[in-house]
Amino acid sequence: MSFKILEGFRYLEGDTFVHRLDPRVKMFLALTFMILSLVFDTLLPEIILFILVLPFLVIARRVGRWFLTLKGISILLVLILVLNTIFVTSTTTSGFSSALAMCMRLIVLISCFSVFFLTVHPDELANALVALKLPYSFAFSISLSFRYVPTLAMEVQTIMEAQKSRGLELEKGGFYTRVKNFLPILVPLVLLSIRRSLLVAESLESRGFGSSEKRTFYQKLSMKGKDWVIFTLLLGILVLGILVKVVPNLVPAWFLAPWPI
Amino acid sequence: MIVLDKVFFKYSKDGPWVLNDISLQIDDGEYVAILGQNGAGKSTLVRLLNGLLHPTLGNVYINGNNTRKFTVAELSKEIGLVFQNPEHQLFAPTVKEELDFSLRSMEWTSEEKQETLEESLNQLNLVSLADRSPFKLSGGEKRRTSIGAIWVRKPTVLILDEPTTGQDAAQKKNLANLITQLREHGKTIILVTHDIEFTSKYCPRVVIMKDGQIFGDGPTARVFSNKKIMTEARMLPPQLIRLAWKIQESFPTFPTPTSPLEFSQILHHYLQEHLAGEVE
Repeated sequence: MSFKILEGFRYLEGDTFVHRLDPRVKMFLALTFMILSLVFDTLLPEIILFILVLPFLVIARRVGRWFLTLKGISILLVLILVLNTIFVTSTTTSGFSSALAMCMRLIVLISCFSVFFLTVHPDELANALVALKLPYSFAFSISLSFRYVPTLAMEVQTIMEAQKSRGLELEKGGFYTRVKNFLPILVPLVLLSIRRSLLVAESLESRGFGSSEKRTFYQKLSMKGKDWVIFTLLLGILVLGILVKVVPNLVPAWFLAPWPI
Repeated sequence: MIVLDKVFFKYSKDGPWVLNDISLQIDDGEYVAILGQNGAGKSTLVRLLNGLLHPTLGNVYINGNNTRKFTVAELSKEIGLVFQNPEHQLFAPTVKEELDFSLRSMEWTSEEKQETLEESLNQLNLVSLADRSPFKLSGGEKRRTSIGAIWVRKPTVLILDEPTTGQDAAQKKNLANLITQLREHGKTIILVTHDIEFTSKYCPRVVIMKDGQIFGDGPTARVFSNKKIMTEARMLPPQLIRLAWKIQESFPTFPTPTSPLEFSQILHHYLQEHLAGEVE
């Protein structure tokens, strides 16, 4: 098993237009596309959302990374497609199109969060959350948890190698055996993570974390012209999307209708 | 017998060579230490031996069989690799179950498995800990349990990755005794380590790695007393040899000893020969 699936959510240094955007704008981008992808449940709107979010990945030059994650979840996509087609077809005539819409929804969700996590440094994430009036300790915990994703992935790799070295075969057996085989991976991982979290907490406290109520920041976030332009654009997309969904007859019926396949 | 034949390895297509033209032979029953700075390629090298990795170029043979043709599960019956941190391996509720888990993939009868399990618990001094949780053991006991979890599979080669890290002097002594005891069963032992003093005390053969290549290979005392190898591999030789080198700055003819006993003999002889004349 490979952990390429996480590649689309791991920050990578870059200097593109998307990288330079204010992290709050990118957070708003992820939320906008998340809300809209969940609001709509038919294929055409989901495809349009995907077409709208894709340029951000292209401009950030992160399509390759995003694609690694998509490749990683390809089995899940196939599973969604097959199960939805089988179970939805029994109730409507558009089972396949609904299944495709569900897959497209997942792709949109992954894409918008990929834009966010691939281009927002964990420190910027903490700053953005504090700017949104979240208590610093919460903001720091969230950014810290994302920072530990690569460490955790490396740890899983080592544990898997250690267990394979004593004869564990992760790829063998039926579904139940495969699930059971993950127990020797999960137990050490959870225990090591708990131990590390205690060490990190002690290390933070010994460096005075939380000693002052009001803290200052080395980097101050400020919205620039381009940030306001993108924010306004996203707000427009969000409002328009919700209006299309809630106001009857705003768009032709075929736009929201499931495809007869 | 382990043979690495012109092995090259890199982790990614565009990455650098982590192992660069390695040819090495380790005979049955040998006790070898692999040393080198961080990033020299030691851990990569041992992962090639049990099939966790395959060479990009060249071949690795275990008892004449090319590792490319076998899975890790198959190779792990011959090559036992004990990882640096026992906590990456331990998960079962008791020490006994921890060892038992390693036996599941062995094609032995339940009687054979039971017998081997008890034998291994005995050999590794784990009988009194058999029903205890591995997570509540001391560092040394955890290390012993992790070795036991590999040992129980009766591999012909036992590789220990950084076994002395974080161990105090008494635990290191226990580990050395344990290895001596395991060697009595005719097994090949390979240590991957940074511990020069431990190696100089217990290992008869040492392989020094630098930048993915073998930089020195031979009897431990001879390699460690080779100033060129040790300096260029940026390794600090054992205290005894450093002391001899320091003496050589004032007395260039002072020989480099290979053991504390030899050092005391040389010193005795040297003092008699050189200083006696001066006193007269």
